[in-house]
Amino acid sequence: MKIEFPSREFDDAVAAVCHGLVSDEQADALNELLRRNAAARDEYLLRLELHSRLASQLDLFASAVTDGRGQEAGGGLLFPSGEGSRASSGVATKRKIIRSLSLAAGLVLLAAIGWKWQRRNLPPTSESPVFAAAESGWRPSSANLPGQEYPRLNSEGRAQFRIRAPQAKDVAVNIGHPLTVTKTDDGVWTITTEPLGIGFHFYQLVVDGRKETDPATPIFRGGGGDFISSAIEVPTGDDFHERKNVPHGEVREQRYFSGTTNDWRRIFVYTPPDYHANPSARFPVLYLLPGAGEDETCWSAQGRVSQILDNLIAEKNAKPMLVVMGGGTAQRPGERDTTSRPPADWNRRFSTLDEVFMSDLIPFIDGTYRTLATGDHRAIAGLSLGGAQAFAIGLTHPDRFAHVGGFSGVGGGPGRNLDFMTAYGGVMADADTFNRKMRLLFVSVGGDEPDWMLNSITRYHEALSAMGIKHVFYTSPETAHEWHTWRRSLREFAPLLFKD
Amino acid sequence: MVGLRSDVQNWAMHGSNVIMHQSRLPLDAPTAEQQRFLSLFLRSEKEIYRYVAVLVPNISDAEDIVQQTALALWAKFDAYDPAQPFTPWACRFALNKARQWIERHQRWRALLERGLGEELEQRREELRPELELRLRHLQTCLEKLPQDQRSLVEDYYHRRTGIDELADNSGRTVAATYKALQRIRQALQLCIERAALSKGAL
Repeated sequence: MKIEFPSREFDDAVAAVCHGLVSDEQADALNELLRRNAAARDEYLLRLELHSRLASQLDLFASAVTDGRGQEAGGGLLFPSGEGSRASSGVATKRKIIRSLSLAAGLVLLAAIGWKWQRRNLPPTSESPVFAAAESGWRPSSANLPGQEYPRLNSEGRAQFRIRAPQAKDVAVNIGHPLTVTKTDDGVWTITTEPLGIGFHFYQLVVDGRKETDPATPIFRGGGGDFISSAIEVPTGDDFHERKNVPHGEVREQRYFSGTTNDWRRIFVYTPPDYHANPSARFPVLYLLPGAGEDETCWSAQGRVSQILDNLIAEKNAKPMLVVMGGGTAQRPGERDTTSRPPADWNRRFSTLDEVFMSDLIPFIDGTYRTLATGDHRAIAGLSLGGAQAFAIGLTHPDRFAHVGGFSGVGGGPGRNLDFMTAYGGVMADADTFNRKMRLLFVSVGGDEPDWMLNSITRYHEALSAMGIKHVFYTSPETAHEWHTWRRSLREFAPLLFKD
Repeated sequence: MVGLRSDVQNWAMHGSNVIMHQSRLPLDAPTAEQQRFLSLFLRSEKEIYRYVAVLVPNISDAEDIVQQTALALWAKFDAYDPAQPFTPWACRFALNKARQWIERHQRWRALLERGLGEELEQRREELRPELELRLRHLQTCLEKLPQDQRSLVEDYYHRRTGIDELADNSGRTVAATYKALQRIRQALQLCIERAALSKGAL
């Protein structure tokens, strides 16, 4: 066994060390790694220190000794006898003083010796073992605009950013978390990151405190904060979303008037390669919704819908279909945004968007395009928040949608307990009836998503199984809450649609 | 010697994390010398624990070693020079106890052999100022955890609830519970790094 740094094996081995569960193989491999790799050694020490602080600095959990359960802890854990409470107070005071002294000593020491942490994400120096490993095989990110060399990636998935800003005093790259960038003599700021996870990553430049997009890449809607970002693509080994030498459909930007919201709403509509060549044919329709902070451009831009569908259709793995990509927010005139400030009733959260679909969008599409305008030939899916919306709209109207998909997002929202007997108008209350009516219910999640997301969606899947609700559950290997998870989900979802 | 050890255990009930978890002996009034030792030990206890935990991070094993260290320190307390700082003196004892423990556990010997144990101890000393600066954000980051994650951390680290019981209570498997703790620590580490960066500490 060999452990690389950084890697999942490293993470797991350090966790096993913390819990006293390290295996013989892990112990040997970790010894080998830590003796030769200074960066891994520092990271190992930082993680152990975090673990040992949690175990030893019990006043970190101050709230636990004041809440209901804490009273029990104060009497039964720290202090076995009844004197515990008094002693606890005295010890807590001592500990605060000691901690203050330690911290002060630490600060003085730091100032005195000017020592620098050899931290993750610092630009590697020639002494750094990270640097040596990351020297070769750099290629521009596939998300770059033509001719742009940076940001670039190496085979380990490390990214290098290079920003010319001679007048700037401070530059950072925010890629989910801020990375400090170092200025060289010629006014160029550079950084080499540790390996990024595979897939699509939004990022922003922060120049003297102001967020900006990188002129080296297209602008994407999404990514948190101001919701306009640059992006970098870390290769996944997949090519199902790349443009290939196959017949191509087209994506049309269009606007329709919504009487519900009293405004013109923008959509993007994918038509398959033979839509124009075969003018008498009618097609089923898939409606796709974006995630929170994103808009109707996302499925086409970062979702690569046209490439994915072109390839699937060319391989005869999916039926030719229209794909309608709209926005996920909708307010009636004067109505506040219930997407980000939901009413207590989860089913009412997306009621305006639901009405837009029923009254405005579906009639517009069926009136404009050659569609098969029945529920059996209609599907709705979305990612994250859009997945919850797709479930809410699709399952509330099973006569209008016989296929529903939630990619990293389903009904009920994270951490909520959905009452399947009453949710969506009680459509799931009788599993047999539901299974006969719904032709496909699809749930997916990235295998490397945050714990709360992974658990929430897995629990939903398990609840569906317990209810006897037929569904397909897909986990995208090694991807996080990011666009490659949702591209793969579409790749898995689309072939299951509109089967005879 | 046995009597002295019992005394140490008794006094430690005043506030020692380590011995507190393992002793329910009644409290006797300590002598002035005992009180002085206790005061010094309590002030250094967390640092001794962390010093040990670099080599033996598992909580119960590290606590055992610190407890043995406390007993050894009291046994040799008359040799302690009050003009010298207590913690480094105590850590030398702790290191010996940790090494003895490692010698008895082949897997840990394999992990720390060929000089790695010494290397880690030395490097941690170099990193200490930075670790202090970073980990002062730990409490703030703990408070930002979702309630279910915070409860899990509190139950495991603060209440010392066993992993089997935590798994039973949550409906997770034992492996999933360990994984959940690992993910929470990762989230805390990320939060700490962000906080340290935003405060200009790095």
